[in-house]
Amino acid sequence: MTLNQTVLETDALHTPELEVLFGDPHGDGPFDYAAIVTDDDARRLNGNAEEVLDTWGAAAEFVPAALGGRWTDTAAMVERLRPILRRDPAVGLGYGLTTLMAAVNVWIAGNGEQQADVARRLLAGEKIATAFHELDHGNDLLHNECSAEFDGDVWKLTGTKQVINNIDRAESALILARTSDGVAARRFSLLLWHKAPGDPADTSRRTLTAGMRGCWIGEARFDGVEIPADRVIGGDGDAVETALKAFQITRAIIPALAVGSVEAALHESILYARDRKLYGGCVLDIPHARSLYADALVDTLIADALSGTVVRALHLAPRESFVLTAVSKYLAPQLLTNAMQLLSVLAGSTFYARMQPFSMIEKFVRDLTVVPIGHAGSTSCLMTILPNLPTWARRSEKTVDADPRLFELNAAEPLSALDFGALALGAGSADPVGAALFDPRVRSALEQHALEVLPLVEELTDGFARERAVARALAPDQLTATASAASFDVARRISLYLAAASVVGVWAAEAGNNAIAADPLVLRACLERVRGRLTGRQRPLPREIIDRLVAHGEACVDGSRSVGLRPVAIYPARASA
Amino acid sequence: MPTDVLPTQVEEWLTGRVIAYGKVIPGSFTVDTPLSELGLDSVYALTLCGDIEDEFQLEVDPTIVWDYPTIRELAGGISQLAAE
Repeated sequence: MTLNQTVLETDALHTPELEVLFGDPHGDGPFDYAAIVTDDDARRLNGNAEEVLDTWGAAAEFVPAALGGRWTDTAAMVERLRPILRRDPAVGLGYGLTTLMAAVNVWIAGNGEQQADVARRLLAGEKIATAFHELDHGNDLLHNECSAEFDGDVWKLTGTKQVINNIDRAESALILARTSDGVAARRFSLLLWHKAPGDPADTSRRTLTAGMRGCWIGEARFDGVEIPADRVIGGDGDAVETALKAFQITRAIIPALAVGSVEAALHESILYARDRKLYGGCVLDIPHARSLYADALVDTLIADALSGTVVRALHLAPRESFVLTAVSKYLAPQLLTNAMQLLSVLAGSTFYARMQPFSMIEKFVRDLTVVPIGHAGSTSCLMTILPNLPTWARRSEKTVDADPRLFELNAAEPLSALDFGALALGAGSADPVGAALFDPRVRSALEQHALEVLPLVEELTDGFARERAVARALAPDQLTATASAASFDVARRISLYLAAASVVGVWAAEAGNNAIAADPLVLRACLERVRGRLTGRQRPLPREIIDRLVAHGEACVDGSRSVGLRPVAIYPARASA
Repeated sequence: MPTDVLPTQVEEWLTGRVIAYGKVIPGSFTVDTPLSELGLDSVYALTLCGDIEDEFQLEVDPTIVWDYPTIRELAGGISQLAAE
């Protein structure tokens, strides 16, 4: 028996602390789905949830252990935070994620004093807004206009930042400001603004959004706000370089967290489909409904495999993380929002009319719509991948070794502390994820445990090799924002092949045990759906696979387990205060 | 790692890359024309760095293109790296 198997024994499943503190969202607790939907309608975050998080010291999750926090293994951090996302994506974003987005810049480029200052503030419960965005420029950071001038003593900040989460209530904001007119990528600096009474700034305008309604998202107008010279994070002109490194961490974490939300929606869908009676049976008896659920679950599992692998890559393959995190942030949110769409069809009119107790499905659909838009949009992620593709493809072709540790989502051994200094820009030097498709160890596992899936793996491996050759030959003018749709499609297809490689790698890491991740039927289902995206034609999954997936979903609901590749116990009775 | 990469060799190679990039006609620029005026934006810097690494067997940070913004300066930076 391997270590992995012990972790996967149902009765020995780990219960994340926040699951215990939040309790069962189907109950009548202060942070149950009824309260969450009510708060969403009122456009406020659930105050009880924020209180629980404050007491638990959630901000310590975002502070490296070396600075007094709890952050060492990022995969473990994701696991600890997913209980929030299972209940309310808006609390996830609104309570902490944008603070994390700001803080990682400080962990990467801040000096010792700045890091200690920010760590102390976070641990004391303060928030930092990430004020990068200007609506006129979208993800085109290099054309941002908000600017600061140095008067020999302090920076004076003027301009506007928009759709900034927590901008009004956060004690600080990290602002991307234009500070010179030199080379485009060196024009910007990161200024850390600790708000003070009387600062010439207005943060009171709220922006109403379709999803994440509880979040207070708004605008900041600066009219000469003074920021001391020692609050520049990194050197003058280093903002783009620092942000491109910091984005890697958040591009990895956000889709991995979002998997938790779709897991929760899958859970509710089983409850709904059992409860709702139609055509003389329950919805879960209807083949089309079962097929919708199965497709949604499979897309979630693909996103789980890819995002889980990429979170581990931050630690195990930091130099390759620039491309890998863009792949995950491009593809995983698409898979997850697609899964949510499928579940909304399953919920039928209940979805549209928002009937209790399943109104959370409609809320989750709206909330998760922002995942492929916010932070780094899907298209912007493809644009991050594109310029690296020829070099990346050359190096991928030369890569011989996959790193099996990347795929061990259930490893008992924690990852060693994240090395913020190891993250780099560019194509990296190898392709340890794609290499799983060529790995002889993976092949022998397939021959031994899933021989019937081998032809499909071989088909995808051949396709990957062909796509790499296309990527290698992309002309220079096909690598930037003005590249043709066909070139963007190469980046999309490479992302799909890397998702397939993650799925195969994760399966091989578990092969032979009785976990969902080790099931050859699940492996086949995931690869069929990846192939469907590559060919543009999704074929219905075979009945035996659908039955297996629905049975897994039901067993997880009955056993209060999460439905993904790294099962944990969920929705326990709430701990008494 | 080659230790005898001459700046002029690198300049010649970079000039070839700029022409291959296809945004300017040969002869219309010098080694002192800012790369940004040759259509080489910050994004293309990433591509160029991959090419530099493979051509000269060097590990370079893509930010080198931001900090050495002409062919002459970049060639100087690359040959200096090669000599280290």
